[in-house]
Amino acid sequence: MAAPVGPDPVISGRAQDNNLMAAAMLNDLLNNALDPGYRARSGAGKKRHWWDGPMVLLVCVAAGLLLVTAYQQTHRSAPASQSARQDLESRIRNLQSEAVTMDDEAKQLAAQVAALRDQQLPAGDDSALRGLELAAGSIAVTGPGVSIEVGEPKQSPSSASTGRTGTASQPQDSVLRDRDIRAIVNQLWTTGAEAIAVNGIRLTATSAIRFAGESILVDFQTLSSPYTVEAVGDRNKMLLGFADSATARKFKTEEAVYGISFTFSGKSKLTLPSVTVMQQSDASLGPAPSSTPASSPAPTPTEHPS
Amino acid sequence: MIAALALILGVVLGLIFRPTVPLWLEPYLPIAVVAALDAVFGGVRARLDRIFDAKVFVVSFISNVLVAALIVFLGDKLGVGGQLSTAVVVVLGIRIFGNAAAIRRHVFRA
Repeated sequence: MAAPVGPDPVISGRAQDNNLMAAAMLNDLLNNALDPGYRARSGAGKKRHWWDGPMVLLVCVAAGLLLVTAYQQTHRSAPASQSARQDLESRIRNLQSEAVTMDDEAKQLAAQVAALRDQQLPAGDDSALRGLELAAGSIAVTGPGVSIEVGEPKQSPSSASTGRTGTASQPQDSVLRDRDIRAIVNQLWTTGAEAIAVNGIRLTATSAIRFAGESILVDFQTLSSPYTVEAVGDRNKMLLGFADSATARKFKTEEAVYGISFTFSGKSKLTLPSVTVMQQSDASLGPAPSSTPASSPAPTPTEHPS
Repeated sequence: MIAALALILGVVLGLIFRPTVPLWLEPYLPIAVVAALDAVFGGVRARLDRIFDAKVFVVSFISNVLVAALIVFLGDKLGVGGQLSTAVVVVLGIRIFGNAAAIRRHVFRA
């Protein structure tokens, strides 16, 4: 049996001592598996009690109960969490489809409102109104422009990628962040874009491109890679300006270093959707209808009310 | 033999009544099971060694379960619950193996 071995008189280092201690402890653990109480009691004269038998049986029943309870607990909670997850998933999907339906309805109603308004307005030059509508993103626009696509580096497909597009969870170490998308968008605005949409979400003066929970949000809608920024405007000017910009150089570098995908090209015809709902939080009707402001330069793209 | 029947009775009772464990006790259940297994294996080996003692068995069972739960509880409070659980499982696991080996030697003479 392993008795604690004293330090060797010749090599009595502290490390040696510790090693022997550890070895003795492990020996003790491995060889004295039996509870020492049994051996201690075996020597002493045994006094038999009437409750010995029932107590042992009670403990055995308790052990069996404990065993099966723990088993059931582990196996019952796993399906519970699974079903909770499925329930949440289905609720999210229902709400998402509901949101899409309401979105379409809102767009239809907005188109009706616009049509009624156009009926009421006196016929004449409505380019000022169209210009404002274009800037506010309340009408869909079509025209030549550029399309820029950036994507996360290719990774092994994860199990989370089974959701529909736009809902796949982002890989933990996403290279692209909100500021990258913002940089592209701002670069396009400066080089003369007249309307911009990111992954089909039209940007307006009040749009926010943010980053939360490892995914990029545009107007509180989650996007997933690849991100497509489409801009309608002077195609050549935007292409040249973008190709020459620091943003494009940065993406070229990241393409080489991190392996993100990055392409941009001019398009002869792009269609950008209108924004769904125009929120007016502070604006109210003026005191009197003033004359329309001096007509702004007519927008290049041909537009049509959606 | 009767003890084995009692163990099976406990399992059957658990299957029939499906006792629910309060949420605050749930983290201690797996460790308590390992501790209980250690006590049970120790008791079986002691019986085969002909040194079984009812009092030692009962006390070792209860104290094993309580101490294991206490260690996990303390570990949770100190932020090292996972590590302490691992330590308990390793030590008790080694003891279970040792006792199981002794039982095997008794039963199969090998």
